[in-house]
Amino acid sequence: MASLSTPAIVLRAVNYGEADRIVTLLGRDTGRLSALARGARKSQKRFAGGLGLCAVGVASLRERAGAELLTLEGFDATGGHSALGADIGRMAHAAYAAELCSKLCAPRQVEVAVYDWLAEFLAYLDLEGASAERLRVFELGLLGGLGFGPAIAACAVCAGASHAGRDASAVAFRWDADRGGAVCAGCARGGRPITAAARAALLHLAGLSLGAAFREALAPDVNRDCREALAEIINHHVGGPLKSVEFIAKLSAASSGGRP
Amino acid sequence: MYASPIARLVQQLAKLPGIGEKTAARLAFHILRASAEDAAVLAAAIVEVRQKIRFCSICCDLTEADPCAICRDQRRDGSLCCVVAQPQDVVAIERAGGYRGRYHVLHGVLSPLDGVGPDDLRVPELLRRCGDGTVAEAILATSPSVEGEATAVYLAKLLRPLGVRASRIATGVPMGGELEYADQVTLARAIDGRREM
Repeated sequence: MASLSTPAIVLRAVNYGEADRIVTLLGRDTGRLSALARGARKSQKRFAGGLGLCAVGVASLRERAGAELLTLEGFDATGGHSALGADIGRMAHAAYAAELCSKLCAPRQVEVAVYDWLAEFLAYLDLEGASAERLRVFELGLLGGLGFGPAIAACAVCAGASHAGRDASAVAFRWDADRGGAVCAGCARGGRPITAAARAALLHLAGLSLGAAFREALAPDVNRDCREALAEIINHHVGGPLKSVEFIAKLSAASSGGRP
Repeated sequence: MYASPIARLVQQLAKLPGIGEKTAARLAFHILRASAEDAAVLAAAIVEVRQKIRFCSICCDLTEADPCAICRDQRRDGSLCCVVAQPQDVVAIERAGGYRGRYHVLHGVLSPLDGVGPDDLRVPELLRRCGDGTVAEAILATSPSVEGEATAVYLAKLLRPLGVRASRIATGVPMGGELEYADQVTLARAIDGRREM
């Protein structure tokens, strides 16, 4: 039975039995995997710093013959995101990012760039707080990194061939998650309208770094359109609503504020 | 395939947290092997707990009599209210001794991945208690996890306008622990949470 060690981020941990936990990790060298952490709720020695939401550390794992679930023998937290619990917005964005990775990353498929993207996002979240624009940049980067990135600049179907020679800004587009994003009027068979401002904003955000995204400030209606457009793409790939999105909606209802 | 009464029992037991189908079957066969009297006592205990246990109308802890024994106890300091996530946390603090205030049980913490939002917790009851002027300090004793911290921060924001002092339980190096062996996160928290002597 092979032992392995990898930098990892805790995507989810659920209690199991008397004192165990089943942990979903995104390992830099292993991809997403689930492991049984025996005695995790009692032992502060093997799981120093805890196995909390988005904890970053080095995981020591052991594969079990014939078992899909690995054994987590130890988790050494290398740096806690201590500010994630400092406000609900930070926690909600961290949980959303973790849930997205958990749902979109294939099991045991090494995705170093995705791991680094999530680690960078969490570090910025910890340092500077929650920002809707940065969350959009994270979504776009994650989708792109996993090969699910939506077509934004050109039609997902014809890549611009059906309106060649025409001014691209004069072409009407629709948004169709089933067909991969923006679809020109000539190719559209369904979907819904997307404003030129939302498409331009998505295109702009797709080119931004996570650091630069914090300085962006989209108009509320453009932010809403971008959020809804990306949510359609994400739901298409995930196949159902995310719990963390429901949580964010509950928070918005409680505070009557805008959704992140 | 099991006979239908066994299958029904296995199905019901498998609904319990941490119990899979195999464990449920093991428990079902244990019940079958037990005496009829033991099985009846178990069944009666399950029925009784559902019939007799309710929420305390003051602190929301689980109780047989309403208000609960702690809320009825006049020797307790009513100006101190320790806010915990689960009824088990009340038991843990009581077992430790030393605390003579009262409690409020939230029945959970804010948890995005479980879909638990503010409306799913016993927050309105806490605010009602704190709003009548009897509580001077709320000790926010949720776990030092991301979810526990966020819940404490959220409650503190709601309590401050009511004139209630919100304090947080301390975290850091455990009693008898060695600094040399403490992990980075715990040690950093211990330094942040230092107090003057």
